[in-house]
Amino acid sequence: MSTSMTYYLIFCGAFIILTWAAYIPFRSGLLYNGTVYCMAIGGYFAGFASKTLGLPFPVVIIGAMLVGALLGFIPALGFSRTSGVVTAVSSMALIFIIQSVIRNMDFIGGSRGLSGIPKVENLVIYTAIIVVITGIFVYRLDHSRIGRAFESIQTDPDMAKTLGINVKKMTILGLTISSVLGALSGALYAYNMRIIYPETFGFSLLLSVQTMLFVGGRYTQWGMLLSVPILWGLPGWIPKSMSNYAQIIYGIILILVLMLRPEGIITRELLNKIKKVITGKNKTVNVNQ
Amino acid sequence: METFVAQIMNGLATGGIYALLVLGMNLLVLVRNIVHHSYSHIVMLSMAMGWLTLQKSNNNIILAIIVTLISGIVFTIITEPIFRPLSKRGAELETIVLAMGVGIIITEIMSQFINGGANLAYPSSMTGAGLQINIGLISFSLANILTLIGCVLAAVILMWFLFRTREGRAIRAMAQNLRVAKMLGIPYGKTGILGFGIAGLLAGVIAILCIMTLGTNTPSLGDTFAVKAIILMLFAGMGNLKGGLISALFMGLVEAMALAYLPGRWTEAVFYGVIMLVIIWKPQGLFGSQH
Repeated sequence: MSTSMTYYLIFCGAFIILTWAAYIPFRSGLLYNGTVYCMAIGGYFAGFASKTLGLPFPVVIIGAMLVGALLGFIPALGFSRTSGVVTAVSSMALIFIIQSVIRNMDFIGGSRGLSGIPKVENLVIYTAIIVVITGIFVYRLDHSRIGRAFESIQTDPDMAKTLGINVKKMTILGLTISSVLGALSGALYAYNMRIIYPETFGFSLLLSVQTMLFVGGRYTQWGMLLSVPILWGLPGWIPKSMSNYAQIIYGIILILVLMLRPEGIITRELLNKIKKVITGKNKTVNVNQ
Repeated sequence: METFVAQIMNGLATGGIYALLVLGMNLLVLVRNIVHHSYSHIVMLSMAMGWLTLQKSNNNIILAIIVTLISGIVFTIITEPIFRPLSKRGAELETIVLAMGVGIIITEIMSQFINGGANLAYPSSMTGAGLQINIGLISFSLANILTLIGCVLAAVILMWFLFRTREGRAIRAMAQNLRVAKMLGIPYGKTGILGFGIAGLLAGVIAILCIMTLGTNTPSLGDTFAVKAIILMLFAGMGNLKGGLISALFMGLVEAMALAYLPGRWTEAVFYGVIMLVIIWKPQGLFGSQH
């Protein structure tokens, strides 16, 4: 497998995990922009731990997830009180805060970036395994009591409360899980790029995550498997003369999808139909909006 | 002491610009229940249009001002149909993402096509560069004073429109209760376009004031202003016009103080940190939403 192919695949893997990280809070109706914040934390921790502390790959991955959980838990406590637009916008602030903090910390490179992250052989295989494990985890979460609790919070928070669901606790749980996944994605990204800057974890990344989530299918976890490779491969597929327009095309795709097919490409109805064809069973799903 | 007062003037001027941005965005929240993240990008684009006119017409300032105002209106009204399907669905959350998409498109257009992405510089006759007015030992930059006066004028006119005219009341009525407003005969489409148009005019005005204060224009400026404006809007309470004005001015001051007195790279963290803490403490905004 050529290096550019492995590069591309690892990126896809990292971003699939990142989009899953954005997907989980969205199941409870929160548009959480702190996934990029956690990616920055994970990435910088991975870079620092492997380069300066010289820790081996598995330790760094687990360490990044723990650090992500911790540093994601604290804002999550604050965000459990807010909802909707407020969470979306104030989590944007998290991104700026962490960028500012990173720029001030010279021992992890400051504005110059953190370079020289050691190379990990067979990163593709590790990434694939991690993606599969994470996918199973997300699937089980979605189809468990917790997942159903998330969905009920999204549909009607007050009704969820009357059914005995502790909305605050569930929100914090969802956001923390999201932070763990975000940090994981960041660590993989750092190992792949081998050099990271504070600027990477900024607004365009945020928009990319939103695009991948919304275009792929925001109510299912399978949508990203489709949208991430397509959107990442886009610069490679369009003719060279149009390569400057890549970002504009992203924006247009996002706008068109949001206007015309709001649930994304893979909607729940589509999933239903596929399931009917495969299993012959009929599963009714309450489609809101 | 002199620097302190000068910083206050600076802070008030930038705060004034933030205040107008927040005012425009609040107007759009009221009229269509959308959070127009790319409003600031439209302001930047109008500035760029003004710059283009200056280039083509050999620094004809009046023409540039007219073009800036018109482009503000035009671009804002262009985005109206984009938001309409979402507005009808009542999907407030998605509008942020949609507007971010529009914002990225605008930023890309600016960095690709307009001057190849380099900074745009405006002639000093527009920026009032360095002209100072001296009162005693304290010197004020003319640009800041003009900006402040401009902001106050624009805000007063806008508030007069919204609170004293029939159309303004129609807009606020639509925000309070859309169904009843429709029953009372307030036209959804026309009032919406009116709201967008006014916000667009305001965007053009902000663009001119920005040219005066900032003097240059970069493609990334749109993003910076967009986030600050949207966060200030939440800080005061969405849709709350008077609260938005006050808090934007206040945060402009805070930012100027932080810039002057804190070691350089912490200003952003402080700015956003303070706002985040307040928002978490009071999710409805300091003054409550929906005035």
